[in-house]
Amino acid sequence: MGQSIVLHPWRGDSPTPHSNDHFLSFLKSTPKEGLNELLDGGLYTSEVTEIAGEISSGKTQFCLSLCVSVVMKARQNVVFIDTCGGFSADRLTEIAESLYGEENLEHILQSVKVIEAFDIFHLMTALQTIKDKMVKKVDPFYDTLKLLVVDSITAVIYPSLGGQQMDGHGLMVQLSLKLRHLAADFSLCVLATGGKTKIGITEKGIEDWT
Amino acid sequence: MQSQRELCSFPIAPSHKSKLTSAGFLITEDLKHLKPSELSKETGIGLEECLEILKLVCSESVDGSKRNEAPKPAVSALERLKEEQSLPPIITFSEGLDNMLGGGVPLCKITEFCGAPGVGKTQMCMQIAVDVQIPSQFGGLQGEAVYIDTEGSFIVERLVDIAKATVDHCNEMARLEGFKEGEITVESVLSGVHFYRCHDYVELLATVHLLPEFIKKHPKIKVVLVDSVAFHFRHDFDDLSLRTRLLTTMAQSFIKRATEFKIAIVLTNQMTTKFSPGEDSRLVPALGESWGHASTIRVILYWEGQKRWAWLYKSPSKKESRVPYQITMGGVRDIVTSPADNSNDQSDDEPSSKRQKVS
Repeated sequence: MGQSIVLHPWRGDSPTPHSNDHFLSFLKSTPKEGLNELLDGGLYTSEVTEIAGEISSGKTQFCLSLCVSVVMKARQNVVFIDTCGGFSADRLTEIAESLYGEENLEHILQSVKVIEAFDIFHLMTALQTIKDKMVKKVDPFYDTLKLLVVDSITAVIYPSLGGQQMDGHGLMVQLSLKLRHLAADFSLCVLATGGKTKIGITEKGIEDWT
Repeated sequence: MQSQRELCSFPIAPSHKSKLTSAGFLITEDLKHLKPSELSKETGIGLEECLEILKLVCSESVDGSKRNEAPKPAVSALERLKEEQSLPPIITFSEGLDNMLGGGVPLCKITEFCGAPGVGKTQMCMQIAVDVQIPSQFGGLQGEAVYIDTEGSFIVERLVDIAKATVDHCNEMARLEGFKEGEITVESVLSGVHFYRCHDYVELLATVHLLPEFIKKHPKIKVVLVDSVAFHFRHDFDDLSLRTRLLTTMAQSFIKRATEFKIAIVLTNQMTTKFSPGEDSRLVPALGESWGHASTIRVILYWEGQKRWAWLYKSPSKKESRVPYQITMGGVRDIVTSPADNSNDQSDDEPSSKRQKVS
């Protein structure tokens, strides 16, 4: 994977985040200058960027805002792969309308395509389909595709990870390779969201503490 | 014509995958012009399984539309918006709660209610099981419910109370608006709730696995409630890695069914105490962080002061907010506040010993 960002939700009544993690205060109305600085200029194409964070820290919201930015500022298309049911067209509309007004709304909504893939094999099929469409150049939408969002990647990887078989690890590596190839071969910016886990080393070996 | 794809990215059994790899079949192109008998001879896999593998791999190159499990094609966000707007939510009888959730419990999503014991999770589930059956002329979904009980906290008499209150309310509305009364009766409500009792996690997983068949036979089902999803996964569950796998698989299964059949999934979760070094311990939803990502919408129910509150912790489209609510004879309702009214004699028919402070 390329860069990693960790988001922490900042709630007034919750304890302060750990000092050695990146701390981000996510306010929907401010432009993402601070974030751009953190990422050394922004999100790069030809790279896979991962956003990790706790529940409700703003990962999906970040992705939706980014979709709107890419469509309006970079004038390119976006594919949003939803693996956990968190995509809300309503919310995308809200963000688009508040930033760019009603006149641009239809254009923005038509420049974002949503694919549902609730298990890892469907996700692989979806990625293969995207690759085919970009290679064959029959669908004009994919000619100007710049951003690919996968929300969230842990949802499809967790069910096969761990246990006696090592199959899950193989699938995870395959998925990561597929994403990287897509990013590199077609100069896409690939954004993947995930949850945070702590890896603990106990008598049983390496275990996931979630 | 499809470009090359590795065989290991298909859902083939691991033992078959290793046999295919050792026989030299790595990508779809390698299997293109093979007959099942030829494949069986080369790899040593049984004939029927070879047929399955070839069907799986090669039908993908014919648009993938022949497989009934094929993923749906990409739709634009505009079409998604129209779809979302055409699906009405399930109204609870608490306006505050409905507003917080954006109209009610939404279809095609997983809504999770977390809370300490006694705060009203089961009541909420029963209320939703009744509300989904409200006839469409009153703005309801006129559907049926599947209620999966894992704790044994489902009491039919209580459901009857809630049903009676809802039926009376509907008949009252019918009278006012000139509709026919008797569209919905207590008997029809009770027969519209399909009840499953699961005694351990295997039964729960089996029930979830059989849900698609059941829903196809009863297309009126609009909500599946699980009360509670945490119970069997917390007691005597030593292998945490297995637990994460089972829970995440179940979560993905739920979201698949929710979007496939356009139903709502409502789950309840318990609370657990989290100890962090140097901080006070606090109550957090059980089952860990990986489960937290499973639900689309998470509502935490808690006590504060003398009232019950619902806190929208996680939502894809609504802002974080808290609303008070109460449990009455008829189910979940808003708290009716009036300045002169200090003692709400309608509220909290629970004994005061049940009131707990949630830190």
